[in-house]
Amino acid sequence: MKAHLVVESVLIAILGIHGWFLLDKMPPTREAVERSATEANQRLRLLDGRGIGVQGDPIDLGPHLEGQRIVAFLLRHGTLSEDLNFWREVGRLLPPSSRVRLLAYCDGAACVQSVTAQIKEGDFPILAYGETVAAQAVFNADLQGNFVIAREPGGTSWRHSGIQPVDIAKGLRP
Amino acid sequence: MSSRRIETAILTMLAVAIAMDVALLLTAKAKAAHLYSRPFSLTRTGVIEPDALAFEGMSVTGERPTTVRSNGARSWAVRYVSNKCAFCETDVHGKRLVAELEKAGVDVFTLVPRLGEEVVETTSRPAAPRQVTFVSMDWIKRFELNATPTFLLFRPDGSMLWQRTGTLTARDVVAALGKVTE
Repeated sequence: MKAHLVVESVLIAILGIHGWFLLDKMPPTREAVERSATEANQRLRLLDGRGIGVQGDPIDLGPHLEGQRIVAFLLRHGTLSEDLNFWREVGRLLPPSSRVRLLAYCDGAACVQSVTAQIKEGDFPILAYGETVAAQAVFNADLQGNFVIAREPGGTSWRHSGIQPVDIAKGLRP
Repeated sequence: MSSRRIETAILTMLAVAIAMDVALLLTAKAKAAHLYSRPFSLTRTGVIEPDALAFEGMSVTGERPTTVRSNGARSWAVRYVSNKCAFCETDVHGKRLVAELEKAGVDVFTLVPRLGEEVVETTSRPAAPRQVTFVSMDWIKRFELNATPTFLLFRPDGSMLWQRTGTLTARDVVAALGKVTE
């Protein structure tokens, strides 16, 4: 075989390998990048229960005492009474030995305005302002109908039909 | 097969390989250009947005609220940074943009990811607290803030004017200032 044919064959091989690596390094689409940003946002986690309560009081459920768990959930203005009653019932069903601290995040100014009139003695703390990362984690979980436990991965369903406070309380018991 | 035919076949393959590599290069370039042609959206999809965007928050002391309601007279900006982020510290153009925007009469607020991550202010600020540690859910539910530093610039009506995640370049500063003076 002529020498130039060998050279050309080698060139084809080099170009082929080069093309293969080029394919691998192809930039992602805008949609893929934005999807990955959303996924990253979903991975944000609640670490501490801190913020400013609906009555302007600073709230800090940390530092974490041994065995204590902070359960955070969102109160939606649209279903405020139902949400409040649900979690009051969960709180009532939880024995003190469970060492669970409930923490609510109001879903906006309208919620803050309404909830102030509905607060009862002994209610769990309700945040009007939260830390950016923690608030996003709680909001993301709520989009899936879930609540989150501080420093624990994932969320637990509570908004889906058929789930009762007793189910949540049972799941939170040690 | 004759050597002539083999030669033609190899030459054809070579031409195809070259054409494919050139096509791949051009596609990669076009994709990259499209990718960076406009800022990535930090706005959450599938969330019903309130009519008016309000940036409400409280400083670490919890003493005085920072409130920006849309439909105000001026543009305003939020810089999402942390004292634990090395990129925030070295983001000279980001700090320059803060100074330039303030000179242009734009209120710039600093938002931190968590309590204890407040940054040392480097620019002369008015007396009102501009560093927000605790923010309202109304604002949180509009955006996906994943990384520091992130710069968000808003029109007086609260709509997004410009945004960028990562350390800024001199070109970014010019672009952001251009948007404000448009």
